[in-house]
Amino acid sequence: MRRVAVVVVAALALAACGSGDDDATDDVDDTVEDTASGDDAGDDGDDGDDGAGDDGAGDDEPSDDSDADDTTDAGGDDGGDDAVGERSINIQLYQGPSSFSPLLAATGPNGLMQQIHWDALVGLGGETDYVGRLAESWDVSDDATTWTFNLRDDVRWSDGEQFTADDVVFTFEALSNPATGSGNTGKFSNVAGHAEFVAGEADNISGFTAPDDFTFQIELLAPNSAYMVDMVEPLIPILPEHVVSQLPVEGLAENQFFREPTVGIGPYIFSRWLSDDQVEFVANPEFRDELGLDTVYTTFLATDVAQAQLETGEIDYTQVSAVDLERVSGIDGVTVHSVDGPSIAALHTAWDTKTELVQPQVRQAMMHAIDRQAIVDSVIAGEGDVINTMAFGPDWAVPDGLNEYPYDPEKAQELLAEVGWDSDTEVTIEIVPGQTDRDQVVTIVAGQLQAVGINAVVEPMDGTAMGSDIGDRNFDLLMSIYGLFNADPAAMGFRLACAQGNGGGNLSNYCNPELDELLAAGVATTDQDERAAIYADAQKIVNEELPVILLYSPRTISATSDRLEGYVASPIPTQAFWNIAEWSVSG
Amino acid sequence: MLAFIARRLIISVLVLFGISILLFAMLRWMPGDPTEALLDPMSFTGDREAALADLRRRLGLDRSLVVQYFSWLREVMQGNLGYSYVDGRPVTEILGDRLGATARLMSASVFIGLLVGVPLGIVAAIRKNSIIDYVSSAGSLLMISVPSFFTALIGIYVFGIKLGWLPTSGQNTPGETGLLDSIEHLILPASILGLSLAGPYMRYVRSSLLEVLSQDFLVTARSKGLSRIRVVGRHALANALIPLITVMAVQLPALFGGAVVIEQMFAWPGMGRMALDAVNARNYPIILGFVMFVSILVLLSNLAADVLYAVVDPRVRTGQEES
Repeated sequence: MRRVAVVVVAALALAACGSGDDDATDDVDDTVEDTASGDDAGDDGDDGDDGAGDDGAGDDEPSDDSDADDTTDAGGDDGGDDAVGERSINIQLYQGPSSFSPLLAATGPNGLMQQIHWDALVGLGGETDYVGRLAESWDVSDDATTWTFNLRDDVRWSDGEQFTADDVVFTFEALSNPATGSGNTGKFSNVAGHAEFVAGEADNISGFTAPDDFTFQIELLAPNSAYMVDMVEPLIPILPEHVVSQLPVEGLAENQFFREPTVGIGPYIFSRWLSDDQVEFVANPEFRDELGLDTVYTTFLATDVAQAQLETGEIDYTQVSAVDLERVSGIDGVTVHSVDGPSIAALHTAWDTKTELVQPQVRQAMMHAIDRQAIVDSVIAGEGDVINTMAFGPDWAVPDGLNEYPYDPEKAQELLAEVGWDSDTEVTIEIVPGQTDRDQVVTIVAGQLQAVGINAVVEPMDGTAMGSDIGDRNFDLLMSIYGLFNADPAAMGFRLACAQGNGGGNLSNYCNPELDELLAAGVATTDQDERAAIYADAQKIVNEELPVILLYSPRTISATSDRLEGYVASPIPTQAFWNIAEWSVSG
Repeated sequence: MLAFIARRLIISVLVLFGISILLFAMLRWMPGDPTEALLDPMSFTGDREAALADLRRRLGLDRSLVVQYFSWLREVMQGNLGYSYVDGRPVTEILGDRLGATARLMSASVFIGLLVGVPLGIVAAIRKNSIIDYVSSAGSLLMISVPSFFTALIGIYVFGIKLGWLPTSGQNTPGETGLLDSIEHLILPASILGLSLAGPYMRYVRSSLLEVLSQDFLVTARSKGLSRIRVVGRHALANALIPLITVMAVQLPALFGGAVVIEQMFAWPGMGRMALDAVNARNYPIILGFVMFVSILVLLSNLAADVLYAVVDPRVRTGQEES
C-alpha cells in the first residue's frame, strides 16, 4: 500500500513538472485567423483620448490622477468572481495581441492595445467624423497638396518629455523606412521625397516637415483632398523620438521595446503582460485630463467566451456577433450598442486571371442570384444594409439611379445564358472559417449561385493558404468584410485604383483607366459640388462593372457592463477604445 | 537497471532526431507560408512581393531546407530553439511562460482523475455486478465518450453563468494573484479534463483488480479466513495499481490533446492554445519547439513508467535481466 502511494505521488510530481507560475509575459503568436479572410483592414492604434473639441487646451497638470472622479467611483461589483475591483476594468480583445509596434503590419488586437498606450494625430469619433487627438486642427491648401496639422502643446510623454512635431516627423519616416521591417512602407508613397528616401537617396522625406514645434506639414505629389481617410484608418500612433531613435533602425519594427514599451502617451500606459494574452495598463501620470480609472486589463477572449464572461461580470466590454445579438440583449446588467458600420461585406475575384468570372453579365447575374436582403435579415438579424456601390456614404457621394440588383434568379439565368455560361464550371468561394456570420453567408451565397446554374463550392482554408492564393492570383471568389467606406468616397481608390494592384489594397487587381481618372479628379479638388459630380460618375461605373460583388454593410455591435460609463461605440470595431480616456466605472 | 535506462535513453535520442527531421519536412509541406501570415494582403501597403522576399531572407526561409535544418539543430544543441516569427521573442522563453499554466492545469487534472477514478474502480471491482458497478461503469463510458468541449460548455453554462459559482476563463482574475483566486479558476477546467481521465483510470483499476482478486494467492488468503478488506487493501491493490502507471504515461499525449481543447474553451494561457495559434500562423520555430518538448516529455514519461514499474514489480526486472 505504501508503495502504491509512492507511485501515485511520483506520477503526480512528473505531471507537475514545472509547476505553474504565471504572470510574466508570454508569447504571442498573433493569430492570423481572420486576416486573409479579410475583415477590415487591421487597424492601428492609438489610445482613445478625446480630441480637441472636448476639452480644449487641457489642463496641464502633471498630476497622477489617482483619484479623479468624474462620477462616483465604484465599489466593485457584486460578488461572484468578478474580475475587476474598483476603478479598474477588464475588456476583450478578439484575438491574441503581440506587440505595441505601429510599424508592424496592423492587426486588430495590436491596434486596439495601441489605442490605449499610444495616440494619433487624428482619429474617428463615434459617428465616422474626424476628431482631433494630438492635432487640434488641420487644413488643406486649395490645390489639395499641402496638409497642415496644428498640434496640441499641452501633451507630454509618460516620462515627462514634451510631445512635439519632431516626434511626428520621426514616426512617419520610420513607418516609410524599409530597413525597420515596417509593414507600411507604401503608406506615404504619395508624399514628396518618399521614393528618394525609400531608395536610400535621401536621409529624410522632404514632404514631412515641422515648421515649428507644434506644426506638422505634409507635402503631397498628387493632390488629395481626402487625405484624412488615410490618416484615420488605420490610426497612425506617434512614437517618442527621444526613446525610439536610440534603438537600432535595422529591424526596429520587431524591437523588443515594443513588446514592453516603457514610455507612452495615451491615457493608460502599458504596465505588464499578465500572461501572453492579458495585459495590464495603468493610468498615465502625465495625461492631460482627469482619468476615471486606475487600471485597465485587456484580455484575449473568443467572442462567444467573452459574451459568457459579460454575463458573469468578469468582463466589461466585448464585441458582439450579430448572430448572438438576441441572446446578449437579454442579459441583465449589460448594455448593447449597435451603430452603423463603415465596412462592406463583398466577394472578390482575381480580375487579372479569372477572365470568365469578370464578364459584366456574369457579375450582374451573381448580384441578382443572391438574395442580399434575406441574408441581412436572417444571418445578421437585420443589423446591416444592402449596398449597391462600394462607397455607400456620405449621402452627397451616392447618386440616384443606381442599379439596385433586386433578387431575381430568372434574370440571373438570362444573363448567364447571354454569355453561354457553362454550369459545370466550378467556382470556389474561399473562406477562413471561424466567424459564424461569415460562414453562414458564404453557405447561403453558394446555394443561391448553384440555384441559377453557377457551380459554386465553398472552400474552407486557413489564413496563410488564402494569403498564398491572393499572391498567386488564384481565387474565384473570396469573402471579406473590410474598409471605411462611408466617410469619404475617395476610400474606393485604395481598393480599386490600378496603382493599388499587385500587392496594394486592390487585391482584385481590377483596373479601369476611366475610373482611375475619375478617382484622381475626385481628390484633386476641395470643392464638394465638383467632387459630388465626379463621384456620381465613378459610383455608376462601380455599380455596373461590379469590381467586387457587393453584399451588405454590417452594423458594428458591442456590449458593455452597466458599471462602465462613458463608453461611446466606434463604428469601426478596431477603434473600439477611441475614447477610453473618458471611461469610468460606477458603483 | 542502469544499462536498461541508458539503452532506453539512447533510443530516445534517436527517436527525437527522427521526429525533428520528419516534422521539419512536414511543416514545409503544409500549404501557406509564415510570411504570408505576417504580411496580411488585406492591410499591407506598398510592394508586398519585395517585402515578402525581404522577410523570407531575414527569417532565413530562403535557404535550402537542409541548411535550415542543420542551422536549427546547431542552435538547439546550444539550447536556443529560435525566435518566434510573430514578435521575435525567444521560443524557450515563450515555452517557459506557457509551461507553467499547462503544468498547473494538467497536474490538477491528473490528480482529480485519480481521485475520482481509482476509488470508483476499486468499489466497482469489489462490488462486481452490483448497482454501484453498473452505474460507475456507465458513468466512465460516458466520461470517455462525451467530447470535452461539450462538457466544458455545459460546465461554463451551469457553474459559471447560471449558478455563478466559478469563473469561466483565464487562470486568474486580472490583477489578483491570491491562491484562492487561482484555485477557483482551476476547478472547472481541471475537473472537466480530469473527468475525461477518470473514465479510463477507473476501467483499468477495475479490470486489473478483478484479475488480481481471482488469482490463486488471494483465493488462498480468503480461504484462510482473512477479511475481504484486508485482502484487497494488503495484497490485491498494490498489484492492481501497477498497470495504472502505464496508463498514466500512455495517456500523456492524449492529455496534451485534451488540454488544447480545454485551454481554448477556458482561455487558459497554456501551451495548447499557443500551439494552435502557432500552427495557424505557420510560426515554425514555435511549432518545432512545442512538438520537440512534448516528444521529450512523452519519451521520458514512458521511460519513467517502465522504471517505476520495475521498482514496484520485481517480475519486470528479472525479465529484463534474463533477456
